[in-house]
Amino acid sequence: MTSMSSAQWVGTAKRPRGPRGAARSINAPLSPASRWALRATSVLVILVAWEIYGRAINPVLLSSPSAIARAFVAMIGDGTLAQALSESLVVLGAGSLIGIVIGLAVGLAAGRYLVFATLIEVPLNALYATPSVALIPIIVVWFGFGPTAKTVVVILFVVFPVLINTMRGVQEVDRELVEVARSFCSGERRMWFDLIMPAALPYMVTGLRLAIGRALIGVIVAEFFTAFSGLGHLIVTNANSFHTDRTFVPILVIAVLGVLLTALLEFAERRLVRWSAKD
Amino acid sequence: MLNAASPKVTVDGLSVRLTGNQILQDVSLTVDPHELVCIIGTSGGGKTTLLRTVAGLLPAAAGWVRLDDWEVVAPTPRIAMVFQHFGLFPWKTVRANVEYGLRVQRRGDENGRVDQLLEIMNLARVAGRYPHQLSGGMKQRVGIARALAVEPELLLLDEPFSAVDAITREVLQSEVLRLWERNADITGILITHDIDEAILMADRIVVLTGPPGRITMQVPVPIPRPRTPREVRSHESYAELRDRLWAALRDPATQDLERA
Repeated sequence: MTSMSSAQWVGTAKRPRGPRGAARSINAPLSPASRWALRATSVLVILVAWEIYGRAINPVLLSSPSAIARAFVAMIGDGTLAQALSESLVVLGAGSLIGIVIGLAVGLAAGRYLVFATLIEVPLNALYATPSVALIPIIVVWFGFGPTAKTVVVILFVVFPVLINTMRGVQEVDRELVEVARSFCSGERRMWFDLIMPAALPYMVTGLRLAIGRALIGVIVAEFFTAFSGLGHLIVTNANSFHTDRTFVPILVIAVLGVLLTALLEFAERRLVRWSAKD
Repeated sequence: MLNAASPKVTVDGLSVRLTGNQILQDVSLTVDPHELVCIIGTSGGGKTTLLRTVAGLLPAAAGWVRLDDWEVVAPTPRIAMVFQHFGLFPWKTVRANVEYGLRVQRRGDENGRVDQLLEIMNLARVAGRYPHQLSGGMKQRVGIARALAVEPELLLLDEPFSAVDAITREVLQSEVLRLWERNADITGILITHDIDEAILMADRIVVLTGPPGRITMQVPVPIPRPRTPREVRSHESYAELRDRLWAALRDPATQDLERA
């Protein structure tokens, strides 16, 4: 019944057609203005409901947006937020950088050389299958409670998605293109430059995107367990002393950080992979 | 330059095995300078294997391939190949794809050959585009231009027109035909499974059947150049040639069925 009536609807009604192939979607397209209005509505509704409910109950349990905003200003004023943020960012940056470099290098080598891939296969799969969080106590034993331990945790969280995606990208290089390169007498170095790296690039970017999310998790969890510094530590201490408004501030900072980093990577991806069929 | 009587390409007693299977068995073939030889055969008969071995991409189990009197054991800049599925680099523009061979062989382009080829192949207009923005016919024009850019002595074409529609195919065939008739320095081997294409393009047609691939027939095409598809189809020897090739290509199973 429903399928019949909808078929009639498709047959007779004129469907609105937006720009850029929107007619292919099963939904009618939204104008940019209404899209933004809808987004703003949901945020506003959540904030208002939270404010009303948060004021009605004990502030230890939930707090409210206005209290969190005041806490935010206060924490900027006394410098705790800036200090924690910079501590976390240093670990995040150093750990991600090292993890990405290791992941790319090992992934490229493993993708290109089957012997190497087979050699690392078992330990790699074992480490990847183990929830990285489970290793944090061991890392603390090895590296202490300082920033080194936190950095190692971030490396551990970052390295696998980058490594595995890079390896897959190299392995799935089009065989015909390898043949093309060989037939034109391309040397190994040119082959990397002309063929392997560009072919693997979209996979690497996917790996990086997963890695960013995991790096954020890694740094916060590591700060729960180890160092007495950073945003994670700020969350734990404030929660333990029932400053719920102050607990939410670093949480929101982390959320904003995640959104910004992901957007940055998407921007970089669009610039780098201009040749893809997506336009 | 060697004397005109000596062949450009000599394939002698060539056998090729791939993962334990005999793909080619005792194949012998010569191609004269500026000759265009079409190798025709059913799929799985070893045509592409033969071409890849001539290109130096596959090792011979027995026998050898020679270009002039130099044995081909690895890819060489003297040979260029056009691929069935175009083999274009999706992240390179049309121009960069055409330049590719010159780049990897570290050769300059003093004579503006890339520009010339872009012009000849009607690609100048799309030189800045990426392959995914082109039709199949345009993609293969890029593939052909890329191969010609390195000025090869031997051009290998692996079913170059099989992945495009029928109308585009005829246009491309005519373009390659014209290129061939204008360019006196190049020798070619073209793989096809299309009898009409073989008759249209070739100076000589070689029938390869398998597996394992063996040469079962060689016939010259007595139709003078320059050719057009119309002239070829109305030539007196066309029908007879076509019948002979058909008979040679029909696979034994079908022949048994017809006899029964």
